[in-house]
Amino acid sequence: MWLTFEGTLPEPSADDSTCLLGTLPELTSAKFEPVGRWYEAYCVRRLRKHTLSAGSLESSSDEESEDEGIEFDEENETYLRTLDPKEWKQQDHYAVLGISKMRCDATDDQIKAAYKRKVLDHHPDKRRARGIPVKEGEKDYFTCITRAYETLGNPTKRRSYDSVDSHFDDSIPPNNADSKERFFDVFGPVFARNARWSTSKKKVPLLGDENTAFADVNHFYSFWYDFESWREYSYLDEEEKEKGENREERRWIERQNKSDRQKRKKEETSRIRQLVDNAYACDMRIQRFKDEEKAKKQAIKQAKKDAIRAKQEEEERKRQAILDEERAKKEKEEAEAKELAAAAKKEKEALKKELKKERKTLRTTVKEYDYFSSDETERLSNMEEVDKLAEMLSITSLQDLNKDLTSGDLDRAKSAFNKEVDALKDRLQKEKQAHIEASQRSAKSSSSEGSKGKGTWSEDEIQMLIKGVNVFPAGTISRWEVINNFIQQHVPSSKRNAKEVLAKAKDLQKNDQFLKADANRKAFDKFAKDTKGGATAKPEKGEISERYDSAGAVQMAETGSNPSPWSADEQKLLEQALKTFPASVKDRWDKISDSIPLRSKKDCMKRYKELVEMVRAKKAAQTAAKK
Amino acid sequence: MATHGSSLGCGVWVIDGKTEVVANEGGDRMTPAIVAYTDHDKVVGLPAKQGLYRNASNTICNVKELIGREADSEVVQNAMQNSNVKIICQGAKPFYEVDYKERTHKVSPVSVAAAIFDSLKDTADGQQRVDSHNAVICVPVSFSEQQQRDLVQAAQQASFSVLRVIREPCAALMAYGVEEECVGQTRALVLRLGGRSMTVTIVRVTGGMFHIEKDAVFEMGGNELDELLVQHLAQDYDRQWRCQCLKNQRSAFKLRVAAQQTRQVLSSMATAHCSVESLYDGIDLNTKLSRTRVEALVNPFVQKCLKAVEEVIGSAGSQLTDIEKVVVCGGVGRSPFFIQAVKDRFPSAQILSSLAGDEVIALGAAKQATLLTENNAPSAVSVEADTLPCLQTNILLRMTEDGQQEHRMLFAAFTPMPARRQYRMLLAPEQTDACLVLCTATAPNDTPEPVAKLVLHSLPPGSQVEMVCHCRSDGSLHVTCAEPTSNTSTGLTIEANKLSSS
Repeated sequence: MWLTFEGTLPEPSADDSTCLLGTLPELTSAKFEPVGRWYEAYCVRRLRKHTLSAGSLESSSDEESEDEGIEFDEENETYLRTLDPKEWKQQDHYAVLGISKMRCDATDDQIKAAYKRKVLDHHPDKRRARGIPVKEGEKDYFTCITRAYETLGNPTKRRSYDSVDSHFDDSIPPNNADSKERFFDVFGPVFARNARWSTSKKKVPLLGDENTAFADVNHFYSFWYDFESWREYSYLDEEEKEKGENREERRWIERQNKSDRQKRKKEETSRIRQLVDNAYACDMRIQRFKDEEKAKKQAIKQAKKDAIRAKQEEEERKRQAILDEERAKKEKEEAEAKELAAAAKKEKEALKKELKKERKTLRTTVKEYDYFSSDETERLSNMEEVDKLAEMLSITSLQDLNKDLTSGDLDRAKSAFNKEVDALKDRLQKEKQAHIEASQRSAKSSSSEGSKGKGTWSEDEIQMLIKGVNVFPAGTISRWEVINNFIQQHVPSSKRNAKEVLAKAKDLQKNDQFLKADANRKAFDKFAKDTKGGATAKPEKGEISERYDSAGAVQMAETGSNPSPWSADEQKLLEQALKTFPASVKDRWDKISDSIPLRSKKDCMKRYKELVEMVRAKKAAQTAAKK
Repeated sequence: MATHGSSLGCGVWVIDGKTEVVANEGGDRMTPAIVAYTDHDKVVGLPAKQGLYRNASNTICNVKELIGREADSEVVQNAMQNSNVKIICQGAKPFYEVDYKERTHKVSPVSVAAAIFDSLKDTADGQQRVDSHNAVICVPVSFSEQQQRDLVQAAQQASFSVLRVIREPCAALMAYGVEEECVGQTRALVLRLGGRSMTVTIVRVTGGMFHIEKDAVFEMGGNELDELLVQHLAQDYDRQWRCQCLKNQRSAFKLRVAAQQTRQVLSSMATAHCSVESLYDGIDLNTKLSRTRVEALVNPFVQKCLKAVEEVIGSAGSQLTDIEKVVVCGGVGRSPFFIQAVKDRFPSAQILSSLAGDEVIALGAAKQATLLTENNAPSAVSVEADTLPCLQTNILLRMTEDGQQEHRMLFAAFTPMPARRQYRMLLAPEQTDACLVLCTATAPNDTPEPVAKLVLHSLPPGSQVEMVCHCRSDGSLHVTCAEPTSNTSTGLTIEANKLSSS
């Protein structure tokens, strides 16, 4: 942009010449708003580090800079003269334009500049003006320059020319020992050279060196195995499509060319493939990576194994420690227990000895007193009593008794003896009474268990309940209500609700099947009684209920043994009886069975044997566990 | 490519290479920057303004005031007392509290601004001719960095891609193409009279770049004008019907809207009809106002404004005559009486007011946006002014005209470096020798000091001399003079004085 000033420039005086008269003041700085096209231009300049002013001034400076950076060949007119314009396809276009050193690296601008230069020097008109002879029209070598620019100036044509540029080294290093040894020197430049055919917009990965990371090497090979080349061979087409005289011929030419191109393209692909294959085969990094990978895996495996083993060992150690501790504890406990047991045994033995002594004293003293009687039978009974006393009395009372007996005073001894005997009898009696009472109570309570709540269930009610339960099976809608209604219908005196009915039914089911059988049987009795019109009604209700208060009793009466399991009360009675009647007592089992209602002698013996068996088994198990 | 003032927003879009103001659904080119929250919707623009009275506690006006402010700043505290909308402070930020969709919401100023931007964008999208949402946002000079950042964030929320944030006065100057002329130095005054405030900015334009010299904001604006009008109308009404309509808040509001409309009509027409149905007690207001009447009414206000402007110029150390260009913009600034008053006050300056006052800034922004999109310039969102090296003095060329020695400006002071100028000078007929004397001068009235002399001898008659001056970024000036036909040339480099720097 040229600005014009109006006015005139002053005339210099004769001796004036271009000179400096002073200096400019230094720059200052000011804030400028980021607005407007001049600011934008300034920014762009600053970004590109241009020093020139912006915009419209650039065109002139462009031309100056164009020639920079071009390595022109030396002017070689003789070479150009030798060119045959007819054979332009075979010529080296880059050489013709004088940029054979740059070849494919030349930019479009540089090609243009080179062409301009050639035109300036070799245009027929220019040469004519210089008096150099020029051939006519197409025959002149200048045609070659135009052709060269036509080819290189057009991106498509340039591409096809570059694809088949004879200066490109298509060779592939072989897969041999030398390649392996100098792998990077041999293959590096080859890949670098071939990289320019890549269609990929991204940067083509290069071979790298020994220290290249595994990922990069991997990427390199995967890229090169999938390498897509833009090389195309249209420049080598045998015949020009336009040469065909008619459509058929043109088509035929086209087909021919196409198949040729495809063939070449295939060759190119296989060439690249071969190159990569060779490289892969020679690449020692691959082997190294494989080894490393293997080693790594091995290391990981080993580490895992070690970790597991360490853990196991640790666990083992812990367990051992715990076991040791336990064992020590146990040993200590055992020792203590043994000691204690020994002490207890000792004591017990001493006690026993004492007892024995006391008993002996008792017997001898009583014997000395001639059993306080002269009567044979009394003496006999007294002898029995002495035995009993000796067995039953505790050591202290025995000692007291012996003291009294050995005092020498017969009356006193006798009275003491009788007192003891009475006391013992009394005690035994009491115990027996208590047991019988307890057993009766328990029997009673078991029979009256079901009727806890508001009141006891009458026979009729129970019968009706059983009947009702049978009539209305499970699944009936509000079954227990219905059954309750049923009962109330038949037994008007019954004032129960469904809940109670349910509880009773459950009780019946669970508690005693005999009760049920009993009820059923009674139902039959009732039926019989009802059918007989009450004529045979028996007045002794109590007797019936006493006799048949338990199914066990019936069983006992019928078979002589009661198969029902032993209840806790019966068990208690049995134990008591066993204590009361020691093994020395005659007819021991008869007496025992007498003390237990509803159990025969056989039952008791059987039970005793079972118990002995159980205790023995228990002891065996305990000793086994201790070991 | 949008802007929004404190009371009005305007979107200017570059469509098919031309800048266009896209009118909204209501057919207005300006959209009131008001957002109203209702039970079921969020409305922006005119509908929100119409509901301003009914839904005062949920209608947010003047969000520009609060955006990017700290909660404890004076502005926020003032707003908290005066605003109809409840403003609460959470953390260090103010929030509006509004009832929206039957729940109480906290709305940040940013999201309110985003809603306004969104409506501007929707307006343009409705035209289906806008394909990109690149935007240049204009902010007042007084905006802090945080305020800018929040405004940019709001624009981004409305899915604008913000290319740059620029200052409003610069945008106004760009709209008039003040920066196109790159030679010399111009001092311009940008006078923006908006709804709530008046901004006076003095901008120095050198080498096509803007340097803001002075900026001042005054709390006087169109609302004050409207108030004068309202008072006048109310008096009129009172005289006629004997009722104090201003005592009723509803009536006062109605009257204010009517006054605003009347004022706008009077910007273009000589007379305006002002009528309000059932203003008070069922009685309509119906008056005719002439422009002369109104001008007389508002004259004191205009004088007050101009006095403030003069004060600003005075405090910048300049005189009224130094101002070469005056740009009048802003919603109220378009009023003819105001422009006339400015013209009277600045007789020597060029008054730029041809564009619609409230669109000027948006148009400038649009121009900047075009520039940025065309250049693919790296978008620096920050508005911060760039500090560039520039010349300290004017560089002049000595010439003679009609026998008088004169100096022509080659580079004005404060021209950013590096710079390059090419001049072409015709020689007088019969002149064969030429002497080019370069001088420096700090002020235009100083006597220029010669710094270099370039002499060309034996030139062909009637030729012209080409001079290329290249000011390098180190401050030295390289000058070459040539006469193209005879291949005579001379050149030298004037070094910058480095000694004085230490």
